[in-house]
Amino acid sequence: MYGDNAGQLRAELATLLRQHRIQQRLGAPRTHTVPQSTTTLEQRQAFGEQIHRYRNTVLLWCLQAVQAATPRIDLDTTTARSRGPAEELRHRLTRAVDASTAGLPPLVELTTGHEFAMVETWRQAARAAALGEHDFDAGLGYGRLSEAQCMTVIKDATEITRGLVALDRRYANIPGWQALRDQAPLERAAEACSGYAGHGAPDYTVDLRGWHPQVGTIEGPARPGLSGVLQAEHNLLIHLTTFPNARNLRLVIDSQRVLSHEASLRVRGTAPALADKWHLREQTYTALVRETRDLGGNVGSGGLAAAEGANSIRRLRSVGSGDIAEPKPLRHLDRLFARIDARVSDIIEQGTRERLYFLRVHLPRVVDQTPTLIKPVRERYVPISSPVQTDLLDIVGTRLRPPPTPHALPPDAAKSRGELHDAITHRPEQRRPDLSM
Amino acid sequence: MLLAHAVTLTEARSHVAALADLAGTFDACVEYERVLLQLDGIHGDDIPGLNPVRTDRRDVLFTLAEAAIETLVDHGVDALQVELVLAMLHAAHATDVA
Repeated sequence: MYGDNAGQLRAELATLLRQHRIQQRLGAPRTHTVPQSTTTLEQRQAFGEQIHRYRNTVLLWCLQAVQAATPRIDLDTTTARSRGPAEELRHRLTRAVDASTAGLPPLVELTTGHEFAMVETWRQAARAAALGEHDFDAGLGYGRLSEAQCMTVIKDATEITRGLVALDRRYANIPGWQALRDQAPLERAAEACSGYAGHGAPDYTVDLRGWHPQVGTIEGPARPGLSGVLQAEHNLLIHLTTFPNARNLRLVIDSQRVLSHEASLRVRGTAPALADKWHLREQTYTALVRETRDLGGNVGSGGLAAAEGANSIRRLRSVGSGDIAEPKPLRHLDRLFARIDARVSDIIEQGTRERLYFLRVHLPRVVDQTPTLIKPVRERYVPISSPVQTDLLDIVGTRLRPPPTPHALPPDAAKSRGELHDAITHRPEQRRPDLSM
Repeated sequence: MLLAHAVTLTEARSHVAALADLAGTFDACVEYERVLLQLDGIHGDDIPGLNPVRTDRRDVLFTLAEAAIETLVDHGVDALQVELVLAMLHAAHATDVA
């Protein structure tokens, strides 16, 4: 997720910004009274080049973040006067990335730990940046984010860019160090963009977006008790990502009706509110069963989903009312029910919209025009959305689809960003006592 | 599917669906619905739509549904499949009257 990767990036950068006396951290002589060093000049140069590659990865992340949160426009024909704050930062980051000659770190450098803590921190930052690149292709792009979310992403990129510029100045004495191209204009562009992006209230729900690992089915033998029911329902939900044909959809709808009825009976004594809610769900699915009796459609599969529905019923029937004591599994089951309802709603609406599902009209008549001796029966199918029949779409829209659930904000979103900002603006402690009068 | 087969299947489906709607208990309703799903599964997706039925008496509906399902054998449906459907129908009826 964007929140995880960007949060780690900020944490590592904040650690680096609180580190001073850079040469000593790479093994250079510590003081004039303790001149021994643990690394040679060539080794420190190699470390510097490695840090440079890590820095490039983080710089590339900043550029991709700004590109993702701004509209795609060609900046080649623009000037500093015609570019806005975000476009100017994008332009400066592009120049800095293009000018770097160190390249990106190979996989072995990203995955192998380093003996020096400072280099290791850079490795962790580069690793977070490399993983974070997947977030921008997985739903974190301009057009998919709200205005506030775009500004939050831009603000994050500007803060990390400012941190990189501060570190670039601090690392100038590392042997062979290559400074950022146009360091001062880049810093000014980052500061200007930071003010522009931080003007409105941030929207930290963007931390929940980005790449998520694909959820798989829960394999293995049936788990005992209600856990087995949760296992089957979870697997049914996963299998419903594949569009089911009409018959298997009817089997899934029937299984959910039975499951709601059986679950409602079992929790009537311990959770009456939940029992009422599931009783309503049973009635909704009963109405769906009636409306889908004439549903037809050969496109799709869904056999595995139907099988998991049957598994859920069988496992729930082996669970007694007294076996359900804890409320947590019931909350999980309710959440699974809501997600299955949403998915079934999507499936029916998709089938209607793309004409994958049809409704049969009454008794067909014989086709008289065929040349064969035995006249076949004429079959008629009409789209569900035709005005001829059915309450199916009305039931899906008003009774089946659950209300949208608001996403909870990540708890440390603001704290993580505040810590990076403090690290950028902090000043090192004085080594000698203040001699002013 | 020929017209006579379609007529018989429509009759069977319509009466079983009516039994499901008029069932006295939830379990009976579910069992009748399973009979309908099994009938539809035998014929693949090549089935006609439902027709309204003329009575709401469950004993009459059951008799008509049973007769229609038995007649399906004459239209080329596998006899074993028909017997299985009939067994499911009887089990649903037993649940309903119990």
